[in-house]
Parts: sequence; C-alpha cells; structure tokens
Amino acid sequence: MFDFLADANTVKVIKIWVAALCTLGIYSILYKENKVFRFFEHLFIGVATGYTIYITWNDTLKPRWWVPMTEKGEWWWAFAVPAGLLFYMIYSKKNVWMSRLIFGLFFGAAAGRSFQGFAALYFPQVRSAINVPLFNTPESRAADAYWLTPFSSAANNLLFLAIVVSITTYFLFSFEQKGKVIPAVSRFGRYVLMFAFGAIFGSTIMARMGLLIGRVYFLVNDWIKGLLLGQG
Amino acid sequence: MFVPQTGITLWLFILGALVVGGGVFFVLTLVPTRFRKPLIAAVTFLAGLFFALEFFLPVATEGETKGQNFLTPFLKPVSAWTTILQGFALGIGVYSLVSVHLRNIARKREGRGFSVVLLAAIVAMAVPAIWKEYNPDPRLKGFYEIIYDGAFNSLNATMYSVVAFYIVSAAYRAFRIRSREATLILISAFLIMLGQVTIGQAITNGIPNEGFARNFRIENIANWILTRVNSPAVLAIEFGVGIGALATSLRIWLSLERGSYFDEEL
Amino acid sequence: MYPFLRLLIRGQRIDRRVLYVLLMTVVALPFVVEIPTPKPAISPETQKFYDTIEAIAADPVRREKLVILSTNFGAGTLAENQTQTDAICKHLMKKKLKFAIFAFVAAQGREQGKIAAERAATKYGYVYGQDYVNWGYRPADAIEPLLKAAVRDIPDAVGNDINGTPLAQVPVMQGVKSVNDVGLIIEVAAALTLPQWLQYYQRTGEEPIPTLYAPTSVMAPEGFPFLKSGQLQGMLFGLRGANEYEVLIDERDFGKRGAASLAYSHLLIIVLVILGNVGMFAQARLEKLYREENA
Repeated sequence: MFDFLADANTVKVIKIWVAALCTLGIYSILYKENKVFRFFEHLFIGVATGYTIYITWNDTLKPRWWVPMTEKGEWWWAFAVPAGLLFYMIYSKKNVWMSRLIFGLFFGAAAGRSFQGFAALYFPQVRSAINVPLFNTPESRAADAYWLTPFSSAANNLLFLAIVVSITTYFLFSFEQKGKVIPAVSRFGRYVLMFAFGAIFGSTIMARMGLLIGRVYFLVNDWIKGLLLGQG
Repeated sequence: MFVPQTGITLWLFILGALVVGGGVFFVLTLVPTRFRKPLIAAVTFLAGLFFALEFFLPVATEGETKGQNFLTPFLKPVSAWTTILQGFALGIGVYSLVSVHLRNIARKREGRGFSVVLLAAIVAMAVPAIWKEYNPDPRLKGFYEIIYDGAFNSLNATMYSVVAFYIVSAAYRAFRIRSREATLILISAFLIMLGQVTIGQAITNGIPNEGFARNFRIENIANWILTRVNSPAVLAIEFGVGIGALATSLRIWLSLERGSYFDEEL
Repeated sequence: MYPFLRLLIRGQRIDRRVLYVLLMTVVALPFVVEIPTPKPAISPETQKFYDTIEAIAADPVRREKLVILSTNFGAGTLAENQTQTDAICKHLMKKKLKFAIFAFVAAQGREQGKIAAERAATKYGYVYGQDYVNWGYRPADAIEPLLKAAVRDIPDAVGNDINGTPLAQVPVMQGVKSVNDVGLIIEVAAALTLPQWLQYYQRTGEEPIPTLYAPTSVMAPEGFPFLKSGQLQGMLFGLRGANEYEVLIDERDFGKRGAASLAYSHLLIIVLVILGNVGMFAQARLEKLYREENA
C-alpha cells in the first residue's frame, strides 16, 4: 500500500500540487478573510510545530542526551529530567515559583555574558567611528582615486562623525535640550535619521518583493508551466 | 562515582538519579515563601557570575593552559547542559498549543474543525520525520518530503510573501509628503530602490564610472546613502540600544529589575 | 481644470485588490515573457565578499582551515537566502574549500543548507563527510555557551553531525579542533544572528576570523557599520547581492531570473506612490479653488 510514495517522480508531482494549493490557499486572504485561509493557517502552525519537535529531538535531545545516557552509560544526564521539568512548573499554581529558578538561571547566564558581548560588538565600532582619518585617507590611496578624492573622503568622514554625534544627541532624553547648539544638532540628527529610515524602507521593499518573486516563480514555472502545461 | 555504567547497573543509576532529582523537587516544594525570592536571586546571580568571571579573570599566557583561566574548562559541560535544557523547554510551547486546541475540541467551540487540522498536522509532520530516522522505508521518506517541501516550505514562504502585497497597499495609501521628514524618507527610499535594481541603474548607465562623474550614477548615490548616512545612523541607534541592553542585563543579573513578572508574589 | 484635478484625485483611490492584481502581473510577466535585463552593477560590499573567499582560497595555509557556513533561515526567506546560499556553496566548491553547515536560530536552516550543498555537490563532485559536513541545528538560547566552548574544542562542543555521527569521526573534521582551525565564517541570516559570532567567536583565537554576511535586504542596512569597523569583510545585500555574486562567480541562477521582476515591482511601487501624492496635491488644490470660489 502507498507504494507510489516510493516513486520519486510521483512524489515530486504530489509535492508541487500540494505546494500550489497551499500557496493559493494562503493568497486567498488577499481577497478577504475566509475559511480556506484559516484552514491553511492552522495547517501551517501544525506542521511548523511538528517540524520543531522533530528537529529538537533529532539534533539536540537524541544525540546530546538520550544516546549518551542510554548507550554510552553516562547516567548523570538523567538529572536533566527533573531540571527540565522545572520549566513546566509554570502550569502549577502552587509551585509556579520553581519555574523561576530555571528561568532565572538562563536570564542570569545571559546577563553574565552581556559584558563580553557588548565589548566585542561595540568597541570596534566606536573605535572606527572616532578614528576617522581626515588626511591621507585609504580612499585617496586607492587605484580609482582622482583629484577630488582626498577632499571628498575627508568630508565623508567628517559627515560620518557628525551624524553619529548628532543622532546620539537626539536620543539624549535624560535632560532638557535647551539653548541653540544642542537642539540644532539634535534637529540635524533627526533629519539624517529620516534619510536613514528611507534607506531601510527601500531595502525592506526589496526584501518583501524578493519573497513574493520566489513564490510567483514557483507558481508560474513549476506548477503552471511544469505540471499544467507539461513544459517541465 | 561519575563513571559510565553498563547493563542493569546503568538503569539502576538512572533510576537513582531520577529519585534523587525527584527528592530535590520535593524539598523545593517545602521551601518557605520568604526564602523563594532570595533563592531565585542567588541562582540568577551565580549563573551570571560564572560567565562574567570567566570573561574578566586574567588568562594564562603560557604553558598548557595558555589562554585559559580556571573557569574556562567548565564551559564545555555548561554548554552541553544548556543545550539539553533548552531542548526540554520546547515542550512548554507545544503543551500550550496542544492544550488550547484540545480544549477547543472538547468544549465544541466554533472553529474546532481547524483545531483538529492543527493537531493532525503536528502528528503528520513529527511522526514520519522522527520515524524515518529509524526506518529506511522510501515511502516514509516520500511522505515526509510531501509534508516538508510541499506543505511546510510553501506555507512558510507564502505567509512571508503576503506582506509584499500589504507593503504595496500601505505605501500607496500612507506614503504622503506632508512634512519635511516624510519628504526626506521618500527621496531616500526612491534613490535606494532605483539604485538597487538593474532598470534603475540603467537610467544613469551613460555616465562614466570614473572621476567626478561617477558620483552621479544612481547605484553610487544609493551606495553613498547606505555607507555614509545609513551606516552612522544605524551605528548610533545600535550603540544606544546596546547600552540600554547592558544596563537591563545588569539589573536582571542583580535581581534589581521591576515589572509584573519580577514583582510577582511567590 | 476641475475635471483634470478630479481625474488626478481618483489616482489615490485605487482599490487594494486592483493593486494586488497589478503587483502579481508585474512580478509574473518576466517569467512568462523573456525580458532581457542588463547585468547588475557590482556593489563594493559584494565585491569584497567575493574577494575574501578568493583570497582565502589562494592562501595555502588559510585554505586548509574550515569554513563555517551558518544558514540561519527558513522557507520564509527562501528567495533571498537560498539564492545566496546556493551561490556561496558553488563558490566554496569551485575553490575546493571545506565547509561545515550549521544552524541555530532557524531549525530549517540545516535542511536548506543541506539542499544547497547537495545541489552544488553533484556539479562539483563534493562528497558529504569528505569535503563538507552538516553540523545540524542547536537551540538558539544555547548557542552562546556552545560558541564559548567551541573556542577550545569544536567537535566536543557541537557534538554530532546531522546523521548522528560524532564530529571527531567525520573525515572533513580531522585536524579541526579549536577556533584557530576555522578560516572563515559566513553567516546567511534571516534574523539577528551575526552578533553571536562577533561577540563570542570571531576574535577569540590567535587572529580574528574573516566574517562574511549574507542577510535579507531588510537586515542588510544594519550590516554596514560592521563593514566599516572591520568586523565584517563583505556582505551580500539580499537578492540584489545574490544576483551580483552570481555574476562574479559566473553561475547565473535565480538571482538573474528574479532581477526583472524585482525591477518592475520597484517601478510599480514608485509609480503608485507618485500617483498617490499627486492625487493628494490635486485634492488640496481643488479644495483651495472651491474655497476661493465661495469666498
């Protein structure tokens, strides 16, 4: 029974049909909210959860816990069971505080690592922001440099520093920004921030279009051309 | 004592560990209320102290332990235990999801049909996926491929791609030049969008890509915006976020944080 | 004047379903009708991405080290990240560099990385276990202690490959023990996963490990500060970056096919935004004219 599932070509055809139906089912939301969409939405949540269960068992629990404990004789991994059960105490009204023990363990560990994380991530960036050269810049030594490059690269570097300082000033909320200089710097930072947000918005458009293109390519190439028109 | 065992002894040791663990569990239930918060604070602090000390303590500069301090060898077992405990944590989400939908079905609520679909989908994905690791039957592999490639991948990709339609609709309806800031966002967005696609780049293809003129090619303008304007802006924002995160981490580590979760009565 | 203004005002009231159909048509058309697209201009960050891998391949010492290809994406960002991963695998295999696939945020990443590697392996004669390995998936919250432990002992920290084989027994992992045996980190990301490498792994060895980044377009603007500070040596900017990279490695694939659709969809959005704004200005003008008439 179900021998057709062993045939790669049949499986491929079924896969494409299932994928096409799922895609069109989700896209039905674009017309309006409907039961077809809700069906596929629930299907998605179900398969995603099932996949996470499989991955967690196959890649984490089985090789790192079950096999060492039952096949390599490392019996001490059995202590992971009561420790892991502490998570599930959030469902116990009386003993919910016990779950805070293990959550606290992970929160504390993450907090302890934050010092190294902060230093490794931000110190090089702050260093590079402050160490901007104004003379003999790397761009002016590059092969494609021309007569204006030393000035433009110096101006670009100054602008870089000015933007970092002005935006940091804009986000200083611990004191009132009065006078002439700080509000002006802050306003410049705000305008530059808008320019940066525009760049991020433009990039977001490309990201989302990319995802849509992938789906449309599948529908046109694999489903319509490949299966329905038999051009695959 | 912590020596690998075999045969029946292994299972006796495992049982013993479970009994001891259960005993600790039982003892924890007897902890008086006034000691609970201090206990949690102590666990939080010690967990963080390990990593903080491991980072800050000086390391040996020569010999067998070069580059290590006395805490570094403990990173391996800590990593292993963390990985396994995180694996156990998955069950919280699964249990919540399954219990909500089982309740829907049991209480005959509206939409219980969809709850049946969800639960069936969990089983349909998880069971063949795990089973195929033990059973090389090609039918199992074929079924898994249909569920994974056909259903899961396509549903996942399509859900994300729906946002593209909403972005178009939102940009069309809401993107209006009503202020200086909105104008700046629009100009920047247009330049980036044109600079990133081949048709936009073709507009200024006639301009030579060298000398002063190259600054007027649209892809170079877009690149300038990304590297000279966007980059310092993001750096400034991220640095502020990083300092805030560090401050919050310190508060959590020292159990000074306030809020509904942290102020809950135990 | 009034009819013209009223016509312009209608431009800001197009029904959203019409917009959706327009978008679908514009995106699908290049797949139905072959529309020639010019080659993209190569951006500096993509060029640096390519040059870094070329430089490592040309260095006799560094080419013997392991490349970690971290594929932290799922099917949701397939169009961008899978295209990038496909191109990266082809480049690594062309240059005969050994690599390890790894995922720690998106569980699907280990599967998608596997698909990319298997697709390229048939063309370049790569064999699993001999030339590349898949470390599989590890939970996101456990990755920081794992990376810290992997500084000294990668096989012990990571454990097994995707098939359950201990890493120490996988041929391609022979001689790979600590962070000093890693020659390159490539992070293909749909979520914020780059900081973990930079914070806990990149600079923990004798020399900083060159790190390359292939995020989705949404996240790419946040990668530029890292490029400037030297923490990143190159970046692929979403689908556009993948398209440029395919040109550089001379393996045109989905990046090329998607380029026309990408271009026309961007143009459509620009036209619609202009239409909406023109309609808004026309409405303001019409109201002003009415007020002046009635005054």
